[in-house]
Amino acid sequence: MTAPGHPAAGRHATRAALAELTAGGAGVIAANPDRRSREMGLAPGAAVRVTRNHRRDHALVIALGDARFFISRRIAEGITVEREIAPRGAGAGGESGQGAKS
Amino acid sequence: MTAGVTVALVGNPNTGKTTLFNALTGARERTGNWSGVTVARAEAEMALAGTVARVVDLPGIYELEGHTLDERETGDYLRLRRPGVVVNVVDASSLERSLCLTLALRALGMRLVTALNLTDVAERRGLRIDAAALARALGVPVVPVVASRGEGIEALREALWQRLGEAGEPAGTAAPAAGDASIGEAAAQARRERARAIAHAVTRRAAPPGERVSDRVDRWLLHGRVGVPAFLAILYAIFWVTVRATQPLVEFTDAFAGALLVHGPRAVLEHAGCPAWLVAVLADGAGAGLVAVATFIPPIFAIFLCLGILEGSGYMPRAAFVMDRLLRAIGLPGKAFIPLVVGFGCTVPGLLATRTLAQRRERVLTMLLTPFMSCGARLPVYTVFALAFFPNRGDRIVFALYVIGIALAVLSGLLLHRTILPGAGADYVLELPPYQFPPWRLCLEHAWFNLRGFLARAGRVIVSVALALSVLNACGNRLLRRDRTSPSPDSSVSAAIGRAITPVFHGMGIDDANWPATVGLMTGVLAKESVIGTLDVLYAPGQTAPGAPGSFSLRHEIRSSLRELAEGYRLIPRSGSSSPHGSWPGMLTAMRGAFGSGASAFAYLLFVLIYSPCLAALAVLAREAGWRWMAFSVGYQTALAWMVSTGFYQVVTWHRHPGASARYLAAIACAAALGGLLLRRQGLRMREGAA
Repeated sequence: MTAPGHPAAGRHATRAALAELTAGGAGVIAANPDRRSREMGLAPGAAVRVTRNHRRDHALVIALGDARFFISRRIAEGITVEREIAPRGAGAGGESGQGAKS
Repeated sequence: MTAGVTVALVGNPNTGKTTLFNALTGARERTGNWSGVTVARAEAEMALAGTVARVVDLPGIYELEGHTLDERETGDYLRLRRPGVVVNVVDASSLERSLCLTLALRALGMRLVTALNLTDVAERRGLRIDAAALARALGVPVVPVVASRGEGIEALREALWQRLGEAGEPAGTAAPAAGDASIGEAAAQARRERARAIAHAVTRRAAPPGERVSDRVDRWLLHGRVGVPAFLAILYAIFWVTVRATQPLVEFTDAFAGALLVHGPRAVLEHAGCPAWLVAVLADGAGAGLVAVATFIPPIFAIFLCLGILEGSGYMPRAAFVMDRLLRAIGLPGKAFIPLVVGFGCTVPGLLATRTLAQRRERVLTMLLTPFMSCGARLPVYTVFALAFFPNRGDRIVFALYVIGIALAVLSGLLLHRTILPGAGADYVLELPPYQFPPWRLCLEHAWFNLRGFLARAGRVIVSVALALSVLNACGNRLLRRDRTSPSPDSSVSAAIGRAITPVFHGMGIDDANWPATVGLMTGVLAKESVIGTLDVLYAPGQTAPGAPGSFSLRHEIRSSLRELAEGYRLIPRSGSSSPHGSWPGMLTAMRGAFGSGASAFAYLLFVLIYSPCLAALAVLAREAGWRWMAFSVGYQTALAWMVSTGFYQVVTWHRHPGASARYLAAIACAAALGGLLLRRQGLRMREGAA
């Protein structure tokens, strides 16, 4: 199992704000200055996936393991995620789950 | 040792603490499928191995330092009250996050027992938690439970008993000062990493997390163009069930209870030769009041059942998402919509639910808007008027009133946001729980518990008001007319008061002869249910008797009401001879005559919808927001109620009296402009004061 935040060999990571990810985009949280959302689980090392992100909405819907959150855009703009970019031909990087053995 | 021991339930929001509390103690505290259902602590007693323990249910928290009023209550309680043992309720389907709090509680030196709840949900998602391994990793007893089905409760009691019997105090018993448990972000991050490692070690997952049914449903229900119509459709379905589907039951209850409590006693008392005033007080006062209460049982039960299903389904936070854009326009976060929806059941828990909001400005604004949501107590008023004036489209009339309430809340929010309560809604994160069909048992219990509360409160208020009014009527006759035979409310004390105030309501189609409508509004401030109790007594005395004394037959009345019930649900063909409105022809006919038209009746309903909240809501408003905001709420809502209902009536009846209507509408426009100006000036003054 790939350790969260440490892309596997052959892949490289780019950093972006969570709010910049489109629906289906996934990454691992690298930094989050918002204490409340950190307490709710959106802390560094957590793998997240955006399930809804419409520019005209004030909020996004994201998945953190089995949980789903409705998060204000301004908070999402402050959260930095590390996106895994798979090399051409490889599958897209998925979420690593929430502390679960597969 | 356990005498007077306290057991506190602590955990993240929406982990099933209150469901567990109810299962442990037999209490019936409010539950729901969203974060922040419990906003104040609840206490009850529980039998524990032959002794009695006090169980305390606390609002959900993520960390010991709370962000909102409800969360701070939990942190303060744990630090200052030091419960004997803490049951840390952990969500098995979201273990990592739940364990962060477990570790924080352990660091605080609490004597812990971990209740691993929602194991059924975790199993459905392919997650298996090794409870024994978790207990070893935490150094704390772990008991798997499914609180909603009562599974594991006995094992939990046993673990609590054993934990209390353990010799010595746990580590760190010295009461720590506030802040000891959260010594900075580094400690919190260390706890999160430890929680992640433990969760990883004890969880076996059959399949990686993927798209769930809830995600597919959300794709539609959260869609920009579908979300709001879907919300309105859900609301309409609730009112269709509440008003339309229960109509035959309302008529049956009315006829059945009327025969037992009004017509029967009247026939017996008259046969016994009792004086007319005594017959009036007992049959038309107490009896009619009880019938009015009984008649509301079907719609009240239906609305609380529907709201219970809605609250347990997981839709509430979605409604917050759907309404986020609209509420942002008035400076509120979408999260503020949840207290407003709770207000559909009763304004009081709606006001308390604002404790989950972070800013005081947001709380005050939401509290001022919550009374615009039609509560369950206003529903009987709508139902009776719908029956009298709009028998074939009652559900649409009631739905329209609810939607008008929401629209007025938004418009009032816009006005207050731009004047005395400016500011932007705070940013926040809200968890979207998976959709579920809540257990029928819990839904029925929720409806029954609320119905019982309604009956107790409404019974007290309605019967007291009905009794007091009929005594006033009787006294009025004796004192003013010296007529001891046929009590008429026209010369009573309540009539004198009603007549003095009625001119204020001329503009909404209430003439001097319809003074009972004014008395209804006055008693409605005590509790909205009493509006109908009042009208029942003042419109119908002496008119509810089915025939001459001696002709009453209880068997015939009951058979007739049962036939009407079967006809109402089309179990048998309609005979054509039965009354379409049960045994209320006296009151309904009197109402139709008094109001004269549907326009006047609807204007009256608008007033009932908008004017001052009831006394119970005002008391909570004063406690939570301060007496000045409470006074503002009374003044603002009553003035707005008059303007909207008078404006509506004058526009609809313009063709009958264009000159008078123009004057009324001009007066309303002037009053609105003046009110807006005053609010703006006050807003500027407040901003200058703050600067």
